[in-house]
Parts: sequence; structure tokens; C-alpha cells
Amino acid sequence: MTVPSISDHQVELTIFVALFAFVTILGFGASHWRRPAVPHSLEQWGLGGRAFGNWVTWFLLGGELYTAYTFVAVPALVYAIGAGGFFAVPFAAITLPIVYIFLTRLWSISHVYGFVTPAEFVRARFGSRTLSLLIAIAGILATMPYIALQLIGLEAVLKVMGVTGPWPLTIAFAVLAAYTYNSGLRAPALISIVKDVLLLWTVIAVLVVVATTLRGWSGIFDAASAHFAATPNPGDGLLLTSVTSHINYLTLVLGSALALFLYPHATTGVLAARNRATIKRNTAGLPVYTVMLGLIAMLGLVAIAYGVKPIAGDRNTIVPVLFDTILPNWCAGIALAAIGIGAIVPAAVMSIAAANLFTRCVYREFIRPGATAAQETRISKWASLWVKLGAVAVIVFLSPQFSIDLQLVGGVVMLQALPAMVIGLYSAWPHRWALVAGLLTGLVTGLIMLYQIPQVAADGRVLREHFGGAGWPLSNLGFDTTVTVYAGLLALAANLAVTVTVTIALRSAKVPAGVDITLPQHYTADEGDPQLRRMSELVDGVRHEGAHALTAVRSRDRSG
Amino acid sequence: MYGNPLEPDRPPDGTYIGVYPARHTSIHVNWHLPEGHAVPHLPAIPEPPANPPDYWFTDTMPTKPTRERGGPWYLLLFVPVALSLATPLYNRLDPRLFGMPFFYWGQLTFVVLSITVVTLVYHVTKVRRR
Repeated sequence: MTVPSISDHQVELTIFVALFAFVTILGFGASHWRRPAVPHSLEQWGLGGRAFGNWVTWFLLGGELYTAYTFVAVPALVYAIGAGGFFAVPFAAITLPIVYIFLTRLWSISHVYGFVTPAEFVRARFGSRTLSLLIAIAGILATMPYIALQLIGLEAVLKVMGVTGPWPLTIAFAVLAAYTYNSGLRAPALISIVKDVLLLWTVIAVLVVVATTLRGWSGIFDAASAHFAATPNPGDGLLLTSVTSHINYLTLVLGSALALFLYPHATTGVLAARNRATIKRNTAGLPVYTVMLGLIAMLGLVAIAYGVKPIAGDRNTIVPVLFDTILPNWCAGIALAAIGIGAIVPAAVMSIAAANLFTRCVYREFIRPGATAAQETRISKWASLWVKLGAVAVIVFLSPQFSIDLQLVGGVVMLQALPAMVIGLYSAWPHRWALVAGLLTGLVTGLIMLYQIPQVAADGRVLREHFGGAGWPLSNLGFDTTVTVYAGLLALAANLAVTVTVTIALRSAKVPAGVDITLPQHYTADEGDPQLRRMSELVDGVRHEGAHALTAVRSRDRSG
Repeated sequence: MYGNPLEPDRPPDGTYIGVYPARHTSIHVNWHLPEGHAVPHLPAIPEPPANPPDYWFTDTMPTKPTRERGGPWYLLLFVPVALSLATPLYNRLDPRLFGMPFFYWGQLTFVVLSITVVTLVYHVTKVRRR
């Protein structure tokens, strides 16, 4: 396919830039939306005041979970291997019931103590600053490549319109950084509403086009089936072809589902909700996005049927090229803007979440314990700026493949926080040092496994020696089989095993565990609960702005 | 001297009806225990003054949660999870819907099932307002 040029895509580019300008204005204006009495606290900047209701939470969570990279990479995977790429749909289907139970508990306990990040919850539950620091670092490390990947999605869209080079990306992100600095979480919350309207339009447009050409869906699937039959790879096709692909599919679905809500940006979206019912209703409502995701995944097959080829071998350009090919100019412009805006919303939320983690778990714990709300907010704002700058630098100066590798590692890393957070929501039985040991074991095991996975081409050639994928072959253990299992799950199993054994050992050796300052009834507390008072109110008699409960404790200790 | 330890000269935000015995009691609650101490029992809530205002709650800390009772209903949440993980069950082309193989529209149906189940569980376990 010839390299596209700007002159062929003027209409699309105009619409794209116009929509981007519109959301930029919205982003700056968002600081006036639900303007609080005290704007400079971390809860206001970093969680939007903890007051987002049903609809805004739905738009925000949808915007940050169903990212531009998702909409670009999942169809690219389906284009490459067919059925295996559809894992994104059952993964979302099983995540939501899990979330319904666990995240409402996390919301309640965070509401009582004013936690802005899940690592603070771990600190309160297990009394270990080391553990919370490790989880914060894991969260930051896992989020940063994810931000870089959104840039890859945006880059793919710009490539299709003929815009190349690092400057458009840098400008887009600089503008994003400016209004996020200004408005915090309110900016992406408002912009995600626009993104969803555009996305809905795109999906309807594509459905109409598919229904009216190429004999509809049966034509698409026949063409795709013929294509996969002709490729040398036996593993691709419209269905899962062997035991290996079944197990790979299953473990990928399970591993991704378990990790999704451990990511800091997902918990940020949840903690910004107004009450437990909002989270529950959103758990019921978010799967609507998954239906859209399923249709977009099938766009990979549509691309095969229309004979779409990637630009310069970059498979991430499949979906933007498809939009360019089958939709009329103005419609393609809207579709490309939907993906582009779908890149900046999660990038904003992820950078805010990573910044909150840094402020609460690194800065306020170790660097300046007496930080006021205004200082916290300032540190968080600057941290989110640096995180975005770092992501742009990685994309511009290093290869995109590096970011994809990092994200692979990030997924495995994030999964290791599961024992502390999920078991911690129900019981304080695990010993804090056991959790630390387990987390480190899981990290090391996961990294070693990822290092051992080569990337093999369809005909068996080894393309890359290391970090070639996420499926670890069980044959490495000596079994005579071709089955691969998601490395993250195996690392998690090692993590849990170590946690349990070391906890038993430490508890029988009577090594003192950390102090759990949470109470059972706090895990089901709700907004406006008449039987609930914030800890700080009861003990100090004052209304604190959220998380100063813990700070107030410390300064009272010092004053004796 | 006011209640906020960070800004002792600043009056507290909000309004208080009645006297709150914050820093004038002898109760010293220390959450931040030194290492090696077992978790203590919580101290008792201070006694309310002789003429308590209407909003005072003497039993502000219930001993067990009084929220949603779910129990068996929460098991229903496993149904869409189990279905989605049972790959051999839906790894087939027929029956087709609008030309789509079952593998694809079937999984989308599990998503809709997930929505239905979660909505059902939410409504059934909602707290009944007295």
C-alpha cells in the first residue's frame, strides 16, 4: 500500500483537528464543572471530588478501560490469528462480576479513610510501608507503558491521514498535559462523554456499511475463513483450533480479568464514584462497551474481507486504514477522531492515577509526611506532567516495540499485587513480610518467564529471542506438550504459594504482624451512612478533608 | 485551641450543634502502635453530655455490618464467569446469527447475560429502606 499523504485526506484531517480543538476547550473548561469550595485538595484534583454519579462514572470507566490501544490492537490481533484475538470479549464478561464484589468493598474502605490509591489501603490493612511502596511502584511501572501505548494508537491514526513525525504527537500530548494539570480527573471525565458519542456513531456507521455490502456478515466470515485456510499458520482460523489455543485463550482471559482492576487507573475511576450503588450499577452497565468491543474486534475480519493491508507492516494501522477505506470522508474523520480522543482520555486518567500513587505512597510517606492538601495536589500535578513527558519520550526516541514489551511486563507485574489487595479486602491473615516475599517472588518469576518466551513466526522461524509474547510453554518444565500458559498466572501461582507458606511459617514463629487499623463494618460503609463517621471526625472532633486521618494520627503522636 | 492538629488556631470547618468533647477528654486513642504490640480493643466511645443534641448517636460503631444481605444470590454471579471460561462449549460455527458463527455472537450473549445477572443481583440485594 502506498504511503498516504495529507492532500488525500484533507477532509478527514480538518474534522479530526476540529474535534480535537473542541475537546481541548472542554478539558480546560472542566475545572469549572461541579466547582468545589476547596479546589486544591488531592481528592478534588485526583478523584473529581469523589462525587461522580452513575452516568459520569460509566463514561469515565468506559473511556479508561476501553482505550484507543484496545480498539486498535484487538482487531489487529484478530486480523493476524482470528479467534484467539477475541479474548477481549469474554475477559470483559468475567471481569465485571468479580469487580461487583471486590471493588465495592474497596470503595467503602477508601471512603471511610479517604484513600485515593489502593496502595494506601494495603498500608492500613497490613501496617507495612514497604508493602505499600512495592505496590505503588508496581502500579506506576505497569501504568507508564500503557500510556505510551495510547500514543501508539494515536500515531497509527495520524499515519493513516499522512501526518508523520514526532511533533503532532508531542503537541497533542502537551495540550493534554496542560488541561489535565488544570482540571484533574474532571477533564477526562467530561471528554469521555464526547468520545463515546463519536464511538457510537462510528460503530453504527460500520454496521450499516457491512450490512449493505459484501453480502453482510456471512460474506465477511467466508472471506476470512478462506484467508486463514490459505495461511501457513495452523493456529489461526475462525475458531480455536487445538488444545494449546484453548488453554492459551483461557489463561489469557483469566489473567487479564484478574489484573484489570488492580491497575491504578481503574481503581481511580472506581474511587471517584459517589456511592456503592453507583459502582454496582456501572458493573452492570459497563459490559455494554464490551459489546461494542466485540463488534470492533470483528473489524479485524472485516479488514481481511476488504483486502486491507497495514501501512509499512504496522498492524496497528489496520483499523484506521479500514475506516479510511470503507467510510465516506467526513465519517472517516469522525471515526479517526473517536480513536484519537479514545487515546487521550485513558492517557490522562492513567497519568493522574500514577501521580496519585507517587504523591500518597512515596512523597507523603517517605519524603514529606506533613504535606498539606495543597502541597499534595501540586506534587501530583507535576508528577502527572512528568509521567506524560516520559511516555512521549519513550515513543519518540525508542521503538514502539519497546513499549509493547514493557506493557507485557507491566501486566505480569500488576497481577502480583492481587494477593495483598484481594485477600486484604476480606482478611488480614497474610503476614506483611510474606506478602512482600510473595510479591517479589512473583515479579522475579514472571520476568524470567517472559524473558524465556521467543516470538515465533508462522512458519517456525524465531523472530525474537526474548519477550516475544505472553504464553509460556509448559515444555520448559519438561512436559512433552505444546501448551502455553499465560506467564502472569504462573507467576501469580508462585506468588500465592510463597505468601501462604511464609505466612504460616512467620505466624507459627510468632513474628509480629503489622497493625490492622481497619474495622469490618467499614468494608460495607456507604455514602451518607448515618452510623458512619469518618475516623478523623470521631477521634479529633473535626471534619478533615479526607486522608488527613492518618496524618492527624501521626502529628498527634508527636505532640504526645 | 481547636481540633485540627495541623492548624490548631483555625476553627473547624462546618458547624457543630452541641459540644464535641474532642481534645478535652482523657481518652487517648493511638492507632499508630509500636512494633510488636498485638491489636488492642478499641476504647469505649466517650459518654455523651447530659443534654445531648438530637443528632448524637451513641451506638456509632455497630459490631457487625447491617448492609446488604446477599448470600446465595451472589453465587449467581459465577454463572456468566463459568460460561465464558467453558471454551469447548462455544467453540463452534453453528448455529449462525446474521451470518455470524456461534463463537462470536455466543460470547456477546454471555456479556448480555453478565449484565442481566449483575442487575438482578443488585436489585435483589439492595438495602431495603425502613
